[in-house]
Amino acid sequence: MSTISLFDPAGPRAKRRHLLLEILTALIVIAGAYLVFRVLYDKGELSAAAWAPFAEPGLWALLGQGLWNNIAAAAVGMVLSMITGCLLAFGLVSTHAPLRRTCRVYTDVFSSIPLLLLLYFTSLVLPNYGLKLGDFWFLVIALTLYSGAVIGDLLRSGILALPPGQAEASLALGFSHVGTLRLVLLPQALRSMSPALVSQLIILFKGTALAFVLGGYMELLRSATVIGQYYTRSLLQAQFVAALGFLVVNIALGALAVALERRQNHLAAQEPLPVTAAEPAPVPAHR
Amino acid sequence: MKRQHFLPALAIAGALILGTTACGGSTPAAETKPAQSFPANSTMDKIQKRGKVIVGVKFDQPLFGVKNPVTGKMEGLDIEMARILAKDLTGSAENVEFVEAVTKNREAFLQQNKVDAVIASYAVTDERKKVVSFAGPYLESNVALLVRKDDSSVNKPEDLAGKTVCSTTGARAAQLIGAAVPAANVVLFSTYSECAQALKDKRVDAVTTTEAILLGVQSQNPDAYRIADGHLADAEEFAIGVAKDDAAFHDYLDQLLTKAIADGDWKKAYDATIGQVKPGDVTPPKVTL
Amino acid sequence: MSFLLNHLGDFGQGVMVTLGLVLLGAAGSVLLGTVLAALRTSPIRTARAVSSAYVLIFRNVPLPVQMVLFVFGLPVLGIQYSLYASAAIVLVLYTAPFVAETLRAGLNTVDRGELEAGRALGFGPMASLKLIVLPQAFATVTRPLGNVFITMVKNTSVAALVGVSELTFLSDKIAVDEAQPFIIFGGAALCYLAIGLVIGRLVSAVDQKVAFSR
Repeated sequence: MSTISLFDPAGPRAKRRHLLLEILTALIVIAGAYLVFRVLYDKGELSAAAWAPFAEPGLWALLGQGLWNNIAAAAVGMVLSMITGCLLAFGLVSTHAPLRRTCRVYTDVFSSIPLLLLLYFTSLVLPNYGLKLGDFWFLVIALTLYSGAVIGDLLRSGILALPPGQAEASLALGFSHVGTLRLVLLPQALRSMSPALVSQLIILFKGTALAFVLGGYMELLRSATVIGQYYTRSLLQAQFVAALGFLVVNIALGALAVALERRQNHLAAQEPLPVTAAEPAPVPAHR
Repeated sequence: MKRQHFLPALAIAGALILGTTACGGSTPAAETKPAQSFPANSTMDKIQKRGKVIVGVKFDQPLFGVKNPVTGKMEGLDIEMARILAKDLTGSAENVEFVEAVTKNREAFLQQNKVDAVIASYAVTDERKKVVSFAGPYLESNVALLVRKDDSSVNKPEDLAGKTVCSTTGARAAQLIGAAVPAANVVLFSTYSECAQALKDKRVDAVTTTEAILLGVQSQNPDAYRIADGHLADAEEFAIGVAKDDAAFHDYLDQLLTKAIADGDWKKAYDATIGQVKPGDVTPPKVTL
Repeated sequence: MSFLLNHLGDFGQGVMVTLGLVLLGAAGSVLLGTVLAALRTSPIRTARAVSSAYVLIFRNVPLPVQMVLFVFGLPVLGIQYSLYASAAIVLVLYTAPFVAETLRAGLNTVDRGELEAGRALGFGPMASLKLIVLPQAFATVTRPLGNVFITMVKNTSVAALVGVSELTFLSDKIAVDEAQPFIIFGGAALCYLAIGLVIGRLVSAVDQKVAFSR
């Protein structure tokens, strides 16, 4: 919070008061943590018996495999929704009104439907089509339907936010509409929207935890639940470990998003000024 | 009980030829000399040609079908049944491929021939009989109630009026309790372990499902839970699900189960799984389906 | 189509439950989010640290995981609420960091001069926050906040994981019972769409009303 300062710089009395409050807050936090530990200990949740399964490396292998399955589903889902999103974005900025309207409807519908509803839907409907799809694909298809719509919208706003000179110049150079989109506008939109895209990846990744309801896909939360089924004393422990796993990966992805955003701002700062009169816009030479 | 031995002479000749080619099928784990030969195009023959049985099982139901989280091996009565089937058809108990079948997709798996059979704590109900065919049963178990050890107010289903009882989404027990004790509040979670945790937390007053499953939970937490005396339903039958129109396979399985019960294989499987939590004698089920 | 009429009551109940969760979630997350954002501005380092830690943890643990831990884990600590209340609380706990982050962006747009003028006029920090900063911050971020709420509407479906009879839970149950997934889920999708549209309209209306205060 660099720009806002509600308080005058602290004088000596205020400094002492602040120090007191800091120590007080710290004490409250520590006391709270201690209380929590105490209760957990009394109820036996920290006992060796409850944590015994975690001494087995095989268990960690299962959890690791579960986390990997989340990542795999999120990655494949991201790739597929990027493709869908790009196609949708083309449709959304198209000059062909019916196409634009259909894509608009699709985007609005699929970004308003909860992912869980989509998951239930794909798991009930897709098996009837006889395709030998596993639960992995139910999850990925649901993720793609949902995320594709969101990314399509993101890319659309990214394309529209570009300086109109870009499109005009490329059309003047003889590129077709589709070519302009594909070769000039989309790459730039992708670059400028990359922080938002990584955010969407984080949302996708968090969404993979929902596969827990399908029962067929061994992702992390489900693996934790299965551990809890097998070792009924360790349900909470397993869920807690799963939460930690998700937390770590998401924080890493979040750091990636921040780094991308910083890089983007850095690049944007070097972007040339809007085109004036007859001067062509200098193309940034760096990547 | 129908027997297989009505093969016409031509089929016997054909079966002999097929028997020699069966060994050249997909790679089975051990010896593949089948004990019997079956009519061409029957499920049994398909399995033999393939060299392994594909069975839909639960991966998360302790005592029935569960993948041991530590070793990765499949354990449970359903698994043992599948192995008996594999041994009889292909000569080795290892020639099984387990596919995870959750409650929702058991019928779909059979209708689409994704698996040869479903052995997934599959209870026989009239609605299910309309869609699939059941062979067996291989287990009879009551639908019981799990309560807190120190809670003496719940001993039979009627005590649950006004109380909260937990089961899993799609479970038959959930429907049973709704019909038997309408005054009970039914809460549905996705797994029994969550129900058990809720019971411990006093969020619910009872958990209802197959007694065998409840015994498993209780044996891991003897201080926390006990099984109530009263049953919600008696002698729920667990059977092998096969495609509705596959009469030959159904009859074969019935025959196989009868044999397994007679020569002790069933008892061995039971003792290794459910028998661990329910020690004592057990009468094997009568194969009536 | 008779089965649709049979279940209209269930559908209605599901929508009511979902709406209840949406309202509670919105109100709660705005309150908690504002507190979190305000704590970030505090000169007390620990308070800032607590707020940042909260945002970091509760934003990055997936909602299903939080829901499950809250419903099954917290009772061990002696904290237990009904399933509905638990779902609402978790929704608030999860959405509040997003509200806080959105507000933070809004807070940053408030001109320094406003604050200095306020201090010159004798406003204390709490009064500055309440009367000068927050109103302007909220006015700036009405649209992003609206998006957070629309996402929250979708997140109410996660309550289905813990047995709350909201729209998604019920439509899955009915669809399985009646074996008519397209119609049932289509109906549920339309309901969510409708709720999202209504919120979108509300947000636009509020946005226009506060437009001139920006």
